[in-house]
Amino acid sequence: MSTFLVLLVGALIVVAALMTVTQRNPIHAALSMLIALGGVGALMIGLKAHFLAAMQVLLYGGAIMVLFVFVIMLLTLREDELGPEPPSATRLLAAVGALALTFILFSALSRRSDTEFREPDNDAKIAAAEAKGDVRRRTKVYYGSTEHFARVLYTDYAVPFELITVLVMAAVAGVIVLARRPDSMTLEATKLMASPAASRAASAGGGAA
Amino acid sequence: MTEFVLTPGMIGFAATILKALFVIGMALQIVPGCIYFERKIAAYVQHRIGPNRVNFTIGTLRYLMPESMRDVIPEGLARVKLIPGSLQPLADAIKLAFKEEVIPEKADKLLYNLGPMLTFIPVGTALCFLPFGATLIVPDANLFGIEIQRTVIEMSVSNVVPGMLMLLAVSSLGVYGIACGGWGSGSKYPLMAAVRAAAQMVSYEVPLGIAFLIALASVGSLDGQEIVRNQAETWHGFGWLVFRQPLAALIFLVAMFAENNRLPFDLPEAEPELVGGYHTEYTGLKFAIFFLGEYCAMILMCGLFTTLFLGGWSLGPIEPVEVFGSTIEPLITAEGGILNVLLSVAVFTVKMLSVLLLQLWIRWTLPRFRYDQLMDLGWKVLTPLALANLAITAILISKFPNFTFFA
Amino acid sequence: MAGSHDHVEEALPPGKSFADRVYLPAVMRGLKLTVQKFFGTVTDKHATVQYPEVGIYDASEAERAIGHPNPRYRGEHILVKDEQGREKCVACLLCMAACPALCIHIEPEPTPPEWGDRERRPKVFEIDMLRCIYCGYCEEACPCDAIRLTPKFYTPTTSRTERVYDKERLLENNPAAQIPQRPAK
Repeated sequence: MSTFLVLLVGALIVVAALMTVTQRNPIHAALSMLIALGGVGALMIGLKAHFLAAMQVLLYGGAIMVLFVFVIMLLTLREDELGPEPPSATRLLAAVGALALTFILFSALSRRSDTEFREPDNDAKIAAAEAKGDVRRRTKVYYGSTEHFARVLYTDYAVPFELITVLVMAAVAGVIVLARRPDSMTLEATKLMASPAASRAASAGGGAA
Repeated sequence: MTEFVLTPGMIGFAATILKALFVIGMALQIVPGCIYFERKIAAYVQHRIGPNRVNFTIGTLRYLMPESMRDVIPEGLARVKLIPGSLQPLADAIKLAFKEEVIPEKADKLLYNLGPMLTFIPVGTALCFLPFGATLIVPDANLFGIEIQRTVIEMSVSNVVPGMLMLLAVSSLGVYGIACGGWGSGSKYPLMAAVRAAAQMVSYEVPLGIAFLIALASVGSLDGQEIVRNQAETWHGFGWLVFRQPLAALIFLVAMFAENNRLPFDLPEAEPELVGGYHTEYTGLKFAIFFLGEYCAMILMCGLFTTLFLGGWSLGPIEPVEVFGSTIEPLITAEGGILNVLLSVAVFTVKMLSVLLLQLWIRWTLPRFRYDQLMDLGWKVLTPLALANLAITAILISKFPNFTFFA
Repeated sequence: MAGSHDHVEEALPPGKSFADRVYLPAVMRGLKLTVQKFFGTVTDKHATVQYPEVGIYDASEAERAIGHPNPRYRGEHILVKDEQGREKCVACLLCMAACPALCIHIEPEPTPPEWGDRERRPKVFEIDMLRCIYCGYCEEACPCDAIRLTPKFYTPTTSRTERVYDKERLLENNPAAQIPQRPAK
């Protein structure tokens, strides 16, 4: 049953992820991505990492994707503003990069020892506690708890955690560089120098940037 | 004869279904009452009468009787109105149900249809994490040859440990319904309203989340039942977080109004300024579902406030009482019988409805904030205050683990 | 109660004191006010007249919380009668000329010889109440105080033709009864 659910959710995630990159409509792409992120949250619930699942939905679903959707709604891109299709060489490179990333992640994750991420047998502990009549305090389940998560994150994985923040910073800087429009004056000047036709159009149409 | 055995798993499964039906049923029952009282309170505050035309009279009961018995009720008595205007929500619902569905030509059909669902589904899901009563313990018993094994039933539909966090996470997805509805309508006014709503809800999720964290940190648990029990056990039953963390409670309350798009923060639906909000292009049942989702979100947030700050289903300092051979505990422990559980559910409902009443009351008192005032209040006042409160709380917790005044 | 404005405070510029900037004292005062109004309505009275059941003139003093309709209200017209019960109108057509909405239609005829005091009277005097803008110019134009506007405003009918009042109906128009008078068939 649980295997079936994992497969189902996995298929959903794959389909949603594919739709994220294939949809032309940016809102549809963003919502597909939301479905993919939610599916990952569902997988985390399946692994009894409830805290992580809640965080996944709260941060990615409730905050980050809302901003995505918000920005897309503000821009309301038209079909002609979406830009040209990337050349096939770029696509090929992207596919190779994605495959390489998949391979690296897979090998990195499969190299961990199997027991490290396996849930210890909690059911027996809970049953023992309930048999004693101790239902007033729910039996503490350490595995997957907030404490467990925090301890692992801030001890064993402190360096990767910090490195990821650097990565995010780099991504933000890159986005700013990519999205920054050239100075409008410079743009006009370049256009005028580049072609006399553009210069005529600019003087006639008031130079719509 | 083989004896039929009800294992804890079977009882738990049945109980989960019953609890889910109870929670959704309660929410859907409160909504019409809430609409009725909203209109009545509005009217009374403004020296009017409010809805009084669609009545449930004693004569209405005739239609439930066989034809021969209908004359039992005399004509004069039949005209007596039981609660004036009480059937108004029903009339509204019927009106909406029979309206023509109009889908705008420019609408994105998929998103347009998804919008109302996406407002209601997250709220309905989040209601599952609300702890609404004391834990019920079904004892070992043998009823009519059926052996019942001892089962512990938590009074919340889902009892995962970080339940409160799950609730916050799922309810934060409610923005998508508004965004989809506004964007998918293919019209400018709903889009503007949706952008305003999304900005407002994202902004106020920050102080809401931090106030939430303060409550969780003070209790030291993400589990709803644990939060309630902690409040019931400190200060002899009155350790409600509203007394222990008054500032956090206030911040949560204000942010709650903004999250629900209620006055004084109802800018997404500001009728005089926008055409009507993100649901301008909706008619009929889809509009009704938007409405339902909003009111259910109100109920959810009131329930959350009750759980986090008003001691949930606990009643306060009361000595154990013996009623019909069953001990009613001071609602602090979970070891009570079915009466205890029912009483705790009633206490929770009353507390939640009081917060709901406060929401209605405030709506008819305060004028609307301007948009810049709204953002100022959210980002420049509530968020720094909440962060300061969180920092102080964290320091106090780490220094004095048993200190209950602030932590 | 209704109509009293003792709760309206003098409008001041936004305060700069701490209490003003926190909003909370003002919110508390507002909540107090609304709860007072709420219970005031519950225990005392409300401003609503149950309109179709209770006419505005039928309402008792207590029910008529919004006050009497102003006696100078410009509602439906009435043609004034003289001491002998005849219409005062001499069909001079001045009101017809003054009417900006062109809703008055008069056809004059000679008076019977036994009247003696005037030569003309209206054979047809019709006012289309749907066209009338209730400006009162006809009242001002009339040299013999024959047409007046009354405070009667309760005038629903079921057809447009009923809204064209003829001479008899105008003569019999009763401002005291705010009930639509159906034309006799």
